[in-house]
Amino acid sequence: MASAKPTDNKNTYSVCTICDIGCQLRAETEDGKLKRMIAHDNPALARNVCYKGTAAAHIHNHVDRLTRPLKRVGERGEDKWEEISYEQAMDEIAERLKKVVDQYGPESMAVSTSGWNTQTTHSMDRRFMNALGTPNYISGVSLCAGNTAAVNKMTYGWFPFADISNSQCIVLFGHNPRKHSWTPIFNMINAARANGAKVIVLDPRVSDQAEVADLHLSLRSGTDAAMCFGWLNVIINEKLYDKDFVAEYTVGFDELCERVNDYPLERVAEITGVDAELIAESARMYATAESACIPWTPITDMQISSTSAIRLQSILRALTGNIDIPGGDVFGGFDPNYIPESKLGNHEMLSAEQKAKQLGSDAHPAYTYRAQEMLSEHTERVYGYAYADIVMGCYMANPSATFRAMATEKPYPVKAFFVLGNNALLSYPNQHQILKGMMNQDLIVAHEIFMTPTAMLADYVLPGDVFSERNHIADNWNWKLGLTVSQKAVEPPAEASSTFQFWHDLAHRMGFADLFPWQTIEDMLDHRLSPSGKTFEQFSNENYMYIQPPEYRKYRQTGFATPSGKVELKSSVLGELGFDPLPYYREGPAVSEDYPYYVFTGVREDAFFQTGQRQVKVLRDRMPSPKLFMHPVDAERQGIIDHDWVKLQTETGEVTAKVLIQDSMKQGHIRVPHGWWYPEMRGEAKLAGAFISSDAVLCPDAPEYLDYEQGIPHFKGFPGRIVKLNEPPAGMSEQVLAG
Amino acid sequence: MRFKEWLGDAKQRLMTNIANRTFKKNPGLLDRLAIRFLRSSIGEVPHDPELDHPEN
Repeated sequence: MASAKPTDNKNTYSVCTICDIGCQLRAETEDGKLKRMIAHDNPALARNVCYKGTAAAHIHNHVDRLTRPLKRVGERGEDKWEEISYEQAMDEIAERLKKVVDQYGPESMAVSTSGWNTQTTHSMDRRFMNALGTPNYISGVSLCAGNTAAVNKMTYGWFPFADISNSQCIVLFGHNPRKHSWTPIFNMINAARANGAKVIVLDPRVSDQAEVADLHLSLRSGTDAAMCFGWLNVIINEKLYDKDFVAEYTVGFDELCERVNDYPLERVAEITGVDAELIAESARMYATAESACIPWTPITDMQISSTSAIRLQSILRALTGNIDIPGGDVFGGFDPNYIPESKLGNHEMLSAEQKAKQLGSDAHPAYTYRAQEMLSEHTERVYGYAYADIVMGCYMANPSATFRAMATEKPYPVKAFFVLGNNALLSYPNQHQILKGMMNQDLIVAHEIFMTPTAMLADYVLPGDVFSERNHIADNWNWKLGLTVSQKAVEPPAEASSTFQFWHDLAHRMGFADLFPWQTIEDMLDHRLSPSGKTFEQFSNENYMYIQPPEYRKYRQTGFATPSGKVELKSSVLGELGFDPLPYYREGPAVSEDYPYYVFTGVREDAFFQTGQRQVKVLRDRMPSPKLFMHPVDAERQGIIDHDWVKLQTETGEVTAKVLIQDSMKQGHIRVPHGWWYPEMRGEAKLAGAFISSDAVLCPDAPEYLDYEQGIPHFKGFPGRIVKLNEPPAGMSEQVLAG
Repeated sequence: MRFKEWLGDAKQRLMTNIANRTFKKNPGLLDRLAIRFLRSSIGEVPHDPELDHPEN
């Protein structure tokens, strides 16, 4: 099928990929250029738009967009380039990759990507890697949603999506959906609230959601697992759980009860800093609601007890009978109309010997092949296919282990690093180790829409396309059932192209052409839609969205996709891997006289998605500089006033930022925004200021800071201190200094 | 209990089917009725000036 022609039709629908939510918007074009992106004309979807989405034309038409392949001509990281043709770039990349593989083996290639950004990969990255023989795929979803998916599967075989709109009680563990971040979730919460739903917020800060919540529990950062134990204590001891469901569909209830008894309310109150009666009241509110949900939260994803806390949230859903019901947490399964990326990735092709080499899987296996393949036959039994790579997060290497191998060549060398739509240098903990690893590579290939600090370290930089420049159907990576059409509105500039094209073209050069028969994205979409009996053209001419009608309580027919076929309150997978099969709470690193504050990082700001968009004026004007949040009492003790410049220091590194003093902060806590660098400093500061304000320099990844099962760092509450600066940092622009 | 469950489930399936009708590009009669139903229950969404950006 030929590539679709662009259209200037004002009713072109595109799925925004500026953040990870995927709102469908309308594109208006003029003279072959995107003129503006506006809200949907369907009233049910019209509120699902934020000011990042409406800034799309400013991003897609930005003067700094990469449009031609670049080849490094200076030292690595020197940011000196020559333009070359796409064909030359791909030929050279293939040649150099072959050399690395010949010398060090296929596992010496690692890939880091963010599927939210690239969208149209269709798992061709995994397909390529599995054909080549490398298991070393890492992604930001190892810290955010993907890891939660993998851990959820251990308890009940799938990762549910919260049916917020129909719920009577919504529990937000630190999650703070607002008008311009996680906008559809924000709208769902408002709709539910309008229908009488209660909202419980558990957050150290008085967040936007906490301000309007029915109950707000200001718990100490990083204590989600302890709080869940407090709730379970109340729910079990007051017999508020669903006894029939527990008896028929769970295993390990008695052992769980014993573990829960280790956490009486007084102990939980002491750990979390929340009054015991408030803990009990909130537990009762959740357990007695007609329907209740605990939506995914990026906060629980990033704690030292993350695996246990995620499992405890799963257990709460199960014990209260809130799984797979309207208004609860619903299992989607594979979409019957669309071939999932889980299949396209060809995970069967990678040998057991190569899978066993997946970095980090020895010490922290939860989201690696090692743990997830223990579920394969059960996933196949219930869902019809063995590999369920939900949210792309279930067969990953550990990022810290991967960067360590890149830096130290232990346990084996990793010498070729491919990074697509992912500013890896600023996206994982221990930024200094990431840099060391990248400086020790024989080949780095970046695929990006703008030059980033990570791309500056590459040998080749390929220009990526954006969502208005390609056709796609978004399927939420099997988290939630539904197909959303995204239509190409304009042509990509010059030689910009998709990640699908990149993997296709590399595969053909590496001898895997027979595994990559699809020539265009439209061919791929036709293939993926084949179960529906429609082509992309037919589907997108008929619908701009299609939601599979829900089926609830499917487990009554199929059981759960776990080894026991039931909800495993006591996890047989974790037990077999040598971990505690029951959840537990582990205290994070303590504050001290030297480092008296609990620092929490990884916090998203409305104007940006992760490390992106700092070069987009209309967004940067809304957030010109990085700002730490402090409580007034802490600020006064430090002699700090609003907008003072400070250094925040930890044992691992330091960031420079301004301070905003906020009553909403919890005393003793400092909140750090995620992903700051300074595109305007390119050519003046090393790697465009990537080490000035990036929270990734603060986060340690030493074993005492890692969750045992996943190897996830403790982003939510590690020790730090504040040092006031008498002068603003040198080299900052007027906008940064003023804003 | 099972009837209540059935009713709740059926309501959600019906609402999804109505929603799918509103997602059609070339709506037929029933689809247009679904859109009208949606508009009457949600209402028009006014333009939000927070979404506007200056030209630059």
